[in-house]
Amino acid sequence: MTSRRVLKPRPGEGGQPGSLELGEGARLDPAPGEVAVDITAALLDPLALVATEGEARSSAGFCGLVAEVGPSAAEHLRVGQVVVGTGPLADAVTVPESDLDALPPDSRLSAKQAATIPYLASIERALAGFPIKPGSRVIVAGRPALRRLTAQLLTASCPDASITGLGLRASQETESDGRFDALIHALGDPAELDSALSALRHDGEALLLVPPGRQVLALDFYPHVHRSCVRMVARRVEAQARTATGRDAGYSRLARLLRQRRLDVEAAPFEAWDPADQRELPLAGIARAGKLLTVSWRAEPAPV
Amino acid sequence: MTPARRALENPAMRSVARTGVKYALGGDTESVPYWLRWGLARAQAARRMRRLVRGTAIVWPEPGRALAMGRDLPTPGGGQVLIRAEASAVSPGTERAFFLRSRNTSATFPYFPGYSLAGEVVSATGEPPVRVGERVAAAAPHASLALVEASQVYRVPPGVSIEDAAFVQLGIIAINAIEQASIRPGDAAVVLGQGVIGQLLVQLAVAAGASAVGSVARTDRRVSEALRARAERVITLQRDGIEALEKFRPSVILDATGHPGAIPLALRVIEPGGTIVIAGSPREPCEEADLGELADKEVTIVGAHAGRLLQPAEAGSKRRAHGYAQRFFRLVAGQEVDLEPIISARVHPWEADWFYRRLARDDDAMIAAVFLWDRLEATDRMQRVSYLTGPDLAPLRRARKAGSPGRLVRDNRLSFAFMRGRLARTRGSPDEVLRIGLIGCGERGASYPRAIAAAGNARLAMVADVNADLARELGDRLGLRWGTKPEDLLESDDIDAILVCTPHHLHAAQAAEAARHHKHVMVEKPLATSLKDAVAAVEAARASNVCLSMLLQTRYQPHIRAARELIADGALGSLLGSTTIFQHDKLLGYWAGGYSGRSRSDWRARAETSGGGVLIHSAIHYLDWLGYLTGETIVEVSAEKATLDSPTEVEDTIAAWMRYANGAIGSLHAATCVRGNEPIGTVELWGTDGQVSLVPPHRFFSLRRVAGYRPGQWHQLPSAPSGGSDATEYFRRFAAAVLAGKQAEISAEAALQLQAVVEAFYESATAGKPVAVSQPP
Repeated sequence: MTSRRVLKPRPGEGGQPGSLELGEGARLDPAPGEVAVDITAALLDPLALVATEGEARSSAGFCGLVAEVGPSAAEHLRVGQVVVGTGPLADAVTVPESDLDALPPDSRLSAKQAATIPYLASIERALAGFPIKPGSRVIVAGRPALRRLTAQLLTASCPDASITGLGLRASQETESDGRFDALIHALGDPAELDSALSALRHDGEALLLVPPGRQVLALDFYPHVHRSCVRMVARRVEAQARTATGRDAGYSRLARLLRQRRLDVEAAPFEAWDPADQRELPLAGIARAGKLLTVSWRAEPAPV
Repeated sequence: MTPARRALENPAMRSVARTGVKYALGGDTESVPYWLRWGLARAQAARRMRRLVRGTAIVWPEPGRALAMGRDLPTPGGGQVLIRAEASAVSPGTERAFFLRSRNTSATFPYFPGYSLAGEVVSATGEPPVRVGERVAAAAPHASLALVEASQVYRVPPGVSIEDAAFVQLGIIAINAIEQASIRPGDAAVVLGQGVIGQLLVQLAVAAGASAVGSVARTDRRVSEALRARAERVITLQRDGIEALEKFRPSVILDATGHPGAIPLALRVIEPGGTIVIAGSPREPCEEADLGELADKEVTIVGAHAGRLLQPAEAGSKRRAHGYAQRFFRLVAGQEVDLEPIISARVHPWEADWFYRRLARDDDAMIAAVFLWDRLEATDRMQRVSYLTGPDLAPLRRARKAGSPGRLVRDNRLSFAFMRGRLARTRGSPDEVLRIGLIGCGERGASYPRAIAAAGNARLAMVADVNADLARELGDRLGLRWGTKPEDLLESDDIDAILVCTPHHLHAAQAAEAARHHKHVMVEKPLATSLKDAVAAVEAARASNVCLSMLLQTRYQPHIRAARELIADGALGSLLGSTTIFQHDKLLGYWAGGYSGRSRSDWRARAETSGGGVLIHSAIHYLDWLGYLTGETIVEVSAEKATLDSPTEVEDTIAAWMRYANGAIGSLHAATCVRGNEPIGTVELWGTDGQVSLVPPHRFFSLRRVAGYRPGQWHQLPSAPSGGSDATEYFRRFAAAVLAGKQAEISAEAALQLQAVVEAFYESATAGKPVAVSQPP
């Protein structure tokens, strides 16, 4: 048994994100059905860290190399293979093989790109079934990083729709009230939702992308949902092992979009963190800005 | 909306216009909006070369006050129809919120409430899709006349009553919510709220094919048999708990509560993948809801506000609205929707102020109501007016004066017929006569023979007094037998009833003795000097099965009788309070021989023989009025008494408060040392719906339309055709009851109750603390 580096979330006051602190932990040998992975890059959602504590399964996704395969592991996972999945916040994890997916061959993605795939898949899952008709005008609002990924996914999947991925303030400045057929709101601060709904037309549709955990909201349903007759649904955006769109078909499509840079996960509003340079990272500002955090554990290998 | 109407609704324009009209009217700012509307109607009529008609409309001049007043409309222009309304439906939840200017309401006052009525087309121009004489329903405020775009009018098919048709807009609201819910056969649907929309939704959900429909509310005050028959399960949260709702496993929840806690409740109990439809209008922000739960259950929340369907402007909305209206009418005609159990009140438009105040008190029992416009006089419903006819501001002025006496309105036609009808019911048959023997020929005894003779169904047969001079004088004067002992009367076979007019302390024993001789008994007030003696007298009367009554004849004064009938008809509503005042300057000689000095004795001044002072001698009449007029019982009293300026053992001053069984509070102040006063006795009563002032000039004010009087203004109490004095009325009624073998109207039980109240006052004044009134056997 050897050691590994782990990130310990420290809760802030009032349920707000606190900070991430670098520490040491034991590295576990894989049991039957488990796989040990050396993580290259991971994606973190600060809001998810509020909802989960300690070393719970709290990354929004990672990309790494298979270091060791436990007895009876599936044949498609071999040592040295590039995998994506979800798991604890550490530079090395031992997880059930069912939490991992091998990247499609010839993906040619950076580790940071690949680490976002489980999270992107959860967004796709949330969007599935939400009716966006050709020609409809859709506004995507809310947390900047999630809003951006959502807008990019929608643009890729609904080419006939008019997708406006604006911040709330910007949408108000363009006097867009009541102009849009659909609103997709990446819920961060629930108080923003009240304003965002005013961008919807009468009889519009609203989809709320809800982060993990409790999201208590005192929404005045009268002016928006009731008076404007809005139809509202909410879906979780929470990276899960073996997502519904996972593996072959979904991951291939997401990998293709990432490769084509139609899904851009490297520019702002993503915040990068290298634990080698900084042992502790305050999360409140990152969360408030609606950013996602990419963690680089190891040197980036050649694109896979 | 026309440019003129847009200008009227614009706050800045209103302000400018208001200022201009204010100066023109010499500063009468309250009238300004009515003058503006008056001018607008004329401008619209002039622009289209139309005439003007005036109907009656409900208006709220300010939050919390309603009245019915004239409102002018131009006759229809192209594509318009004029409807003479027969009924308009009240949506209690919405109108209550607007009436009280609650949060999330947008009323500007004066405000014309209402949005759903039905009636008959009386005028139509061009080629509208409806014709004169057709029965129609439309979106319009509560008024006897409505000017509506022809394309927004719904024909009422045969088989649908006009009253049911008046609910068309509420039907559209409910059907829209059902459509949004997309109920599928097999769905378990729950309707939160049992107001008018909630009850309509239950019926519509059943009609839509839901396999099980539950109706949920906090309390069961609105639960009727009709609702139980429609809903598979009626859940009362206070009694059954949320668990009962969870067990129902609803996949569709229709919220018709408008309550901020409804959404969190719905989220908690709904099945995964279910749909929550908001049909009610929340007036407060939703209580904290967990959006995580919304997401985890994959629940859809749908807003179902039907605002765009109620006065549809676009073609699509018009089509939908017409489709929903016709579907509503089909369901009503097919009895799949039954409005009868939902309509809690049918209101005369003149009673608008009463009705809305009742509504404002959050009367849970109210589900829906209708104003019935056909109850108005024809000219109040519709009359032609000229361009020069001024606005109808009289109701507004009356409303402003409602807090002061103002000008009393006499309506002798109404009051005369009203009282004559009441009086006729009290007369006995002239063929039978009650023979009365009088015990006690002093001041009171000598005052009654004329009243007895005038009664018509009674006559005095004999008199007696221990003072032979008094007995002889009265007997000889009246040409009657006389005696000096009560037994002289009691043992006479030709005497049916005894009238006891002796000093107070003798009343009870003599009444009991008369009863034991199987004579009916009338006792001058009080019945006794103590409750114990009074009970003994009443028990003797019960044992002999004879009538025992107390002479409380002042209750038969015409204005008191009139007040009682008006109160019985609902003029006061529920009693809230009363004041009672008796003031007199009793001269020193009274205590030595009464007012007349006929019988020289100081029994009135002594506690043992009199039982008390001003309370038991005089104020007892007004205490009697309180119960007689209101039907309420006094259950607790607190009193202070004193002898301040009289040569007596008994009190000449008493002040007290009293609590009625319904919680109302009253006060009493009586004194016989008030210099300069002839006897003054006044009672004022007020309740939830009005006030009766028995202070000259006797008058009343009511929000209700009672006995044909117009609500919302002061009226003088009607004057009854006189059948003689109040004492005559008493003897006539007593004789009529006895001859008919019935209990006397002023019964032994009423006398006992009054005695118990008097005793409680004295007990409280002695003990210095509040005293509960005994409940006599």
